[in-house]
Amino acid sequence: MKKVTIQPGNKTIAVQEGQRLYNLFIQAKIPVDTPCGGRGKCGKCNVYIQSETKLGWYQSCQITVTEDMQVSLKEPESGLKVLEKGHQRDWDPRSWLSQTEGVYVLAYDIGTTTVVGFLMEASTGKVVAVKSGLNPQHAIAADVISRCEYACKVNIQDLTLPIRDLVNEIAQETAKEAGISPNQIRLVSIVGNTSMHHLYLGINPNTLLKVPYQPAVYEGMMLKAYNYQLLINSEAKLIVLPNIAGFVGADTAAVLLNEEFDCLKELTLMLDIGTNGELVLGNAHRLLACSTAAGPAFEGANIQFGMRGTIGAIQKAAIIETQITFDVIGGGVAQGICGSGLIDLVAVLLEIGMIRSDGRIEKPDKLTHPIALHYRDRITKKEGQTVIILYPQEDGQKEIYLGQKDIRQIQLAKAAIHTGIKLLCKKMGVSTDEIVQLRLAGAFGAHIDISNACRIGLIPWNLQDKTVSIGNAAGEGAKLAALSQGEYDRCVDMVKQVEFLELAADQEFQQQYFQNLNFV
Amino acid sequence: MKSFGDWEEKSLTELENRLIHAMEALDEEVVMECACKLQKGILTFYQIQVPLNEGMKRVGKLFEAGEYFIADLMFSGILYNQVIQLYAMEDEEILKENCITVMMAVTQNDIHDIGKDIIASILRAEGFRIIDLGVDVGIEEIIKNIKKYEPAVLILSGTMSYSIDEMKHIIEMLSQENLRDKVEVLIGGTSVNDNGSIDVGADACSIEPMETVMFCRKVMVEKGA
Repeated sequence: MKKVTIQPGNKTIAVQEGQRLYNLFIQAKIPVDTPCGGRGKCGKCNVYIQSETKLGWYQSCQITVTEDMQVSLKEPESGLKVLEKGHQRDWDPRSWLSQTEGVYVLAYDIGTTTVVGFLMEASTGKVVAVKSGLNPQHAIAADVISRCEYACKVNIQDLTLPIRDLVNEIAQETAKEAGISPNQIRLVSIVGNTSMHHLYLGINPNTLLKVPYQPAVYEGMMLKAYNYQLLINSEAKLIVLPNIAGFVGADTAAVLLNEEFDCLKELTLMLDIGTNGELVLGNAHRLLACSTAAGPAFEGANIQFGMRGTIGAIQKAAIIETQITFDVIGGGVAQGICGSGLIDLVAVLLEIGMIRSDGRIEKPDKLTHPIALHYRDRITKKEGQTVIILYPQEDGQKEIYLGQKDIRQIQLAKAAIHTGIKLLCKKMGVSTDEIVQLRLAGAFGAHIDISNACRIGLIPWNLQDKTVSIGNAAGEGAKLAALSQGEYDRCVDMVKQVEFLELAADQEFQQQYFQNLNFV
Repeated sequence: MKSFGDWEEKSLTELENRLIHAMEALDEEVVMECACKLQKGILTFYQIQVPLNEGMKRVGKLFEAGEYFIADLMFSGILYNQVIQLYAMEDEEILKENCITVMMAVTQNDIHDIGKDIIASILRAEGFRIIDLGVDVGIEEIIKNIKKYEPAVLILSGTMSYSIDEMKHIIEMLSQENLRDKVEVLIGGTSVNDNGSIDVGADACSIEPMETVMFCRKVMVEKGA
């Protein structure tokens, strides 16, 4: 008998030699995601193994127990996936603070949906606590435009006070978790999109709603934290990063800082996809930015069974042998589809000809691909709309389908991003081929399958092998600005260099946009 | 309509039905074949609107269901114009009568013009004269141009949720200037969709693009016939 110790839980099981690790999990009712049924195809049952002969990630369905081992499972997914990690880099040592020993700084990324705060040691930059919370402004409206309208028409305080409360709450909680006094927090930095920026600071956002859609305040600022209901050291500074344009905010400025666009030699494209897609193209010589109204389709809105990337969302879809298989967050019953799942799904359905290149769902009698024929009966009508059933209604599983209108929404969204990329390139006088790297920021960028994103035309094909995910680069940028005045100054300088391209004013946008609506 | 015997009556209905179905299917060949037959002294320009409109209505329904997409709508406009050209070959007056002026504008503080441009493309394809005032158009600009061009239809489009208020102001101003009776006003865009049937005093409010196109054609027929 061999001993297998499983983390989390520190459970030790005695195992017959020669047993498959994967079978052990099934017997012990340990949840491991296995969409391919243990055939070694999907890599979803990966576990981290430490033993005399092994160290690293292995597919548990391909491992036979021949020795004692320590096995760590992937962290079970819980609640909304908040992207906290980015790539930490070295920073300019010029601190804001004259004295950094025993002193802490806090960096915030205020998102439309979630707010994350990172508490760090001022001297080392070591993160000692991270807390996140849902943006309480959701109670008033989900999207930024409606929130800004509410602020202008009704009362900005209803939006400003709850978000300041949450930011303070996060400060108190992180301090508590790190075992320090809030009084030791001497500096706070804030990044967010322009709307979140204005609403947090209590700045009237009316200029964001009016042509030419500009922020009321562009400049980076150094304020006093106590004026913003932050119950930390009374002398603490509040650092706010600069905005770039109406819908390219301080969060994008923070990404530019973290990615050091001011030092990049090679042509780099940064893409952050949310309700708005923010794009920056360039290098140390020139920077061009635009925002493109991708619409919230990739966040699950406007999609019949769309949802955010929480438990129950189909986050991946793939063809495995002759089946379309889904990976559901949490491994339980599917509730809907999130952005990454939508991209996979459309790519798969295009591949087997169930969706035509013009976006129409193919007639069942015209299907030819053997896998598509297998799913022929899944194409049906619901209230006059052609749909493809993903999950038929069964015990404990509600019916889930992808409708023709959903596919249209995806076409509109992906065409907007694709057109934005093309027009930035044109303005720069380069072709998409000349882009050396595409850096995808944010949670969505971290979870999408790049080849599928190219398949549906969200991203041009020639960028497929040049794409990297940079995680929460905005949060990382906020950290740098909190730790270093030198970094903050760099950010301010970079933002001054950015040229903004207003796509809506571009004559070519519409023509290109219509051309890019089809799948290729 | 000319009088027909039983057999002819039946074949006329059949032909019209074929035209409707061909229009719905965007089958250029069959549309033109039917239209050629119907045009040869059987249906007048105004009479052929009935089956054409029915076909277009169905195209609109398919668009609503997502089956057809933007390019399909535009193609339907091109088909329609081809039928008009058949009639125009024999009677050039038809073109002038058909050519009512439609003025379009995206209201103040809004620059989202994709929707407006889709409609403009379809209407242009169909042969309407389009005066496009562009985006972020103020009230004075609209009033000035209405006086100048005397359009039969004014289409106001707005995407921002406050656009609906702007539309209301424009329509009020038209009344003050005694222009309200001279122009049919249609409002559209997401602003209208989201605000449902808020009464701003427009003659029509359109959720789907084909409704806008049909409305313009209705005005055209009323003016011409």
